[in-house]
Amino acid sequence: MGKKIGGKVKPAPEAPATVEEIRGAYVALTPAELLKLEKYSMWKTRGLERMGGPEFSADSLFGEAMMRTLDGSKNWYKSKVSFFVFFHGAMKNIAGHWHTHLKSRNASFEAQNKRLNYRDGEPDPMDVLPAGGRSAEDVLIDAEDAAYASDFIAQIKTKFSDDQLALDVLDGWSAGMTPKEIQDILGIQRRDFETVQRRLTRAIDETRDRGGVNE
Amino acid sequence: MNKKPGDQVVNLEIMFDSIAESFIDISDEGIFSAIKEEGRDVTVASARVRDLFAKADKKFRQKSLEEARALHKQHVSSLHSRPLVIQGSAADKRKWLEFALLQKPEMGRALTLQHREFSSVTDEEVDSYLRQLIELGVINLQELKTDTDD
Repeated sequence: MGKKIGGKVKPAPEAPATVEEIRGAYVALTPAELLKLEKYSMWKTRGLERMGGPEFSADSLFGEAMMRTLDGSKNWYKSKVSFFVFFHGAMKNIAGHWHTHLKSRNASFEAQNKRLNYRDGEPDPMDVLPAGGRSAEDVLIDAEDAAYASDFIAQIKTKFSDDQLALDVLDGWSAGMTPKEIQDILGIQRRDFETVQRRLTRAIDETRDRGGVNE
Repeated sequence: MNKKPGDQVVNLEIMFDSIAESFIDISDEGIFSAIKEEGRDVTVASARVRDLFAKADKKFRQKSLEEARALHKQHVSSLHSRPLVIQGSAADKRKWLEFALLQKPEMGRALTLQHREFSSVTDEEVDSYLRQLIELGVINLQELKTDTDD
């Protein structure tokens, strides 16, 4: 029952979906929605798994988002958004936290490594870093990431050097633009954009599967 | 101006993020084509994703069950560690115990063997016997009270 304020009845706040409602909602997701969420989780965790290990995989993101939805730490309000939209938001939020966590963890290890290197005559950081932490070798891998990213982008661009539309879409993505913004700027239809999207993502996948760079 | 090496990492991250979002906006036909072009079967691939939800759901059920079990165990152990206080006068307690022993003559015999006469049992001992019998589940105090009130 809502409260009466100033002569108007203010509706009672909506209760979050129950566990049973959440169960009903995930079972009712369409094959297309399931596959879009899968693709989203795969691309969203690209780089995270490399930074943090298998616990930051796409499947882990899925599991974590679902667990948090069921245990009530993430609330879905049925009248506001569909379960598909809600779940996309939940995964986005968790991946964001993972990213921040991994970045700060890596920064802290790098700072520790620098301090150890600064003091002359101190033991090698490789021997000093705690077993549970990341080794100096891991920190070096981080430093290599910059070169990896640079080579990766260059390799994709070379692959599409004769396809200006693909290069433009790639630039749009690198600038953080939405599909709609890219379509509007390039003056292309959704169908054409999606065709390029599939071509590009397949090429990126293949590049990654073959080991990424320097082949 | 030259870009810092770290900028390329950020660019790549932004690019992957944008691609992820593009897959949320993609049409149903677009996603089905993408899956087929990867050589995957749409039905099998979507069933795998549904299974991820089911696995998380199963894990949640197990976690909830374990939490409920732990809570129950904690509750039972707190009941045991808390001394049982029987409300009532010494005369009432003696009356309840006497009635209980009439119902369970084998216990009555054990008690009278120890004390010869029930009347020689002190009020503290009556209270202690009653508590032990209740905690062992041999007698139910509420039923005793009801029965002796009749």
